[in-house]
Amino acid sequence: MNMVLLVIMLSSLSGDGADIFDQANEAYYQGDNIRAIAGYERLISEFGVKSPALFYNLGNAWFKEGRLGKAVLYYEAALALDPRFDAASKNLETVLKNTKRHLPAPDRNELNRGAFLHYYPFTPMQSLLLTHAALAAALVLLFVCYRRGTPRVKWLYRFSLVFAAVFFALTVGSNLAARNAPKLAVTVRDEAPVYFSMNELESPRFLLYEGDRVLIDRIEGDWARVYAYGGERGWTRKDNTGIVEYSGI
Amino acid sequence: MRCYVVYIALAAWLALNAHAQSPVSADVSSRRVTVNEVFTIIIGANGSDVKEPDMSGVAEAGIVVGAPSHQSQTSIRTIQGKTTMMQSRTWRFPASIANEGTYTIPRIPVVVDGREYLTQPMTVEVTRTVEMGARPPHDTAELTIDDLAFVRAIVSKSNVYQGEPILLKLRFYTLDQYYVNVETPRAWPFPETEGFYLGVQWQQNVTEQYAGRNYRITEINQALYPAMPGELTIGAWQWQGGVRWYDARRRPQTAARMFATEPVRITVSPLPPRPANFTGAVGLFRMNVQLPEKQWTQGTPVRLSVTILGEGNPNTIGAPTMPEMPWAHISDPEVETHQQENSMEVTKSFSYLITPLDAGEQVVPPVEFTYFSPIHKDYKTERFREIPVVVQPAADNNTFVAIGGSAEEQRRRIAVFDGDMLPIITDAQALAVNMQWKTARLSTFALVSPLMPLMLLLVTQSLLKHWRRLTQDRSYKRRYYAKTKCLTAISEAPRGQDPTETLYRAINGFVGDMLDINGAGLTSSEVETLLLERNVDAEITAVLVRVLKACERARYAGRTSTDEEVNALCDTASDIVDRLHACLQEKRS
Repeated sequence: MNMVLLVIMLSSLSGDGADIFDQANEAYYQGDNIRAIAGYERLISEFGVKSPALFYNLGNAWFKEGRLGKAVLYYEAALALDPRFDAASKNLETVLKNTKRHLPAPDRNELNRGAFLHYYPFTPMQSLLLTHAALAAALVLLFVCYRRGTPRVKWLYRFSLVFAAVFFALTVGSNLAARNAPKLAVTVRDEAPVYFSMNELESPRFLLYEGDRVLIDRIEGDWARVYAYGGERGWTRKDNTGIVEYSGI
Repeated sequence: MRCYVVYIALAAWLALNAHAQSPVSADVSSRRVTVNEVFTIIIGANGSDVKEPDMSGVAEAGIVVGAPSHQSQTSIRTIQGKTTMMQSRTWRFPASIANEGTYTIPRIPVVVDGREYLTQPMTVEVTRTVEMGARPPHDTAELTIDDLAFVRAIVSKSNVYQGEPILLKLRFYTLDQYYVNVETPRAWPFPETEGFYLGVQWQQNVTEQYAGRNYRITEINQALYPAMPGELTIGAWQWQGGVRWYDARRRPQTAARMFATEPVRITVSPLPPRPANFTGAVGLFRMNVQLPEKQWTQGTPVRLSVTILGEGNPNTIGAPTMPEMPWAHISDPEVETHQQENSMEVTKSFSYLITPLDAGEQVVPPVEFTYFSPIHKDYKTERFREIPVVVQPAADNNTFVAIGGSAEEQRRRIAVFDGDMLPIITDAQALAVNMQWKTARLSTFALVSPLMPLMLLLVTQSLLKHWRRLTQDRSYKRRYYAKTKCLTAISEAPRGQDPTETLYRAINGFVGDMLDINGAGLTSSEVETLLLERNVDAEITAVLVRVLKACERARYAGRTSTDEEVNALCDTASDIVDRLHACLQEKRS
């Protein structure tokens, strides 16, 4: 299925998509960054391209346009797709040096993500594999039971079933927790005030500056709850930040 | 008058006595201690200006003195219009004695108001034996408090070369008997290691026999690298702890103890004259070189990884000497250091990006790494052989010089850029790498996927149960195969020599199998009775009995039934067997 999609995408890109890409690159080299950005963003919205290279180019174009926040956002997006993308790491480092505070990204482990996800050592996929392994073991033990029905084997069979049930419950639980896991976001405005509650009338607790990376662990309407490096938390307008995972959407 | 003289004399004597009394006092917390037991030397002094006591004489008397705790009180007095400041200071020195005997704490000088006063000498008796809990009969050796808990410092070698790794083991032994428990400092102090670089440290707990007794041992391992030649000393590992144990009457006992090791002397020899390519690595090393491919493309970088493994200071392992390669560009190395857990083994990787500039058959010359080997007492050079490679010319004859160096195609096409920023990627093929966000979430399909093996499991279980019953339960087996057997016999009956007889036997057999009785020799009336007893539908019973009777009649009539009669009988029999089977199954369920 993925291969089919890839072939379709390649064939479409070989025509219009590739042309748009080339035109955007040309615009970039001519210094027309806005046109370059529009071209790259078209590839995302119209052709559904989600490539590290494209996000990387967008990061470059936004940086040349002077929008550090957007540049950081797209470099982070490129790195989220391909963590070994050295060029994106290097350019991100350069851009971060130009931000006001060049803050490090907050550590996800410092954020209390709920006791379940915090202490449970397996990912949902690992839990699922353990469930399948337990069911497979139960199947094997069932045949062994049929051949040699010793009480020990029967207990092992029952234990495998209990094991599978427990891990399936843990799979569902950890999957639920992963759904609500905090998301990396980047401040895309010059200054973004962060409030104690969702009320702009109160004085801000602290300010985020363009390019600052935060974690968003809750979204309520137009507001997002952010967690900044150093443990500061509060609410800010959602449009002050761009969530890396939703880049280009 | 005489009375006044006595008063004046008494006042004068008191004044003189007060003047003569020393402003310095000393005492010890206990006059009788055991070896290494901590006791306290308390020194008090009063005056306007009180200096620190000089404890050097105490140390010379063989008494180990620790850092004191200090209390001070200042009061201001005004006597006859003159204001003076009075200090009252008290020092408490923790002290211990390493050998038994009677020790005299010498006079300790303290300077008060510019005049030196001496304290009184004090004697302390140091005993060795400690009353212990009940001992097993075979353990006749007398236990001392030092046997309950003690410390040792062990070094892997004491004659080394500069930079050579030494493993220092600080071992804290606690007797694994008699409920011995030691209260240790929250953070272990570490001995003075001036002149050494500190390497990796790890801690482990082991149980071991020492001097015929079992001990629980906490072992702190520290890698040390002598930084300079000469005589270096690893200081004493010294700390205070509280030992708890139970005496012969099972009463809990405690004693504050000073745990200390002897200082360790290390003789460090200088390194012989250094060769040109020596970077500072001293120890035992080996080198691995990895080159993933031998077919290269002009302008496309290839990663050459040189890994140095061994025991030695990772900070002194410098990059190996890379040979001159005029046909290629070699990047600065990316360095990665990995220290093995609970070991002095270290792995340091140097990763170079080689970008071939000229096509054709080329050779990567040998890579060399020089280090000093203390075992051989000389410098050694690890050498990796030369590697022949074939560089293909670039397909599109472009002028790109790749710097990314990763395996992905897209990263190979980034041009070198003079500014801080790397330029955009212009190759449209890079867009084909469509990826998904790495997320821990599972799709719905994945979440419900355990249902499939679960269903397989349930089906298998019911099948196995069925097969087991077939092998173990005879009546079940008869019932299970009854219908098939009967219908097969009925279908084959018209082709047999005596169809009605076959039919009769098949039906009787079916009834016998279904009711788990012997079907042979049943008459139609017996079949009727058996079925009615089991509340089988009267119509089905009647039809079946009619078929059986027809067979009986044919058997005794002495003539062969026509094909039409036989076929009609078979059809009816098939139908009624079907219905009877369903009916009996229903009754059973």
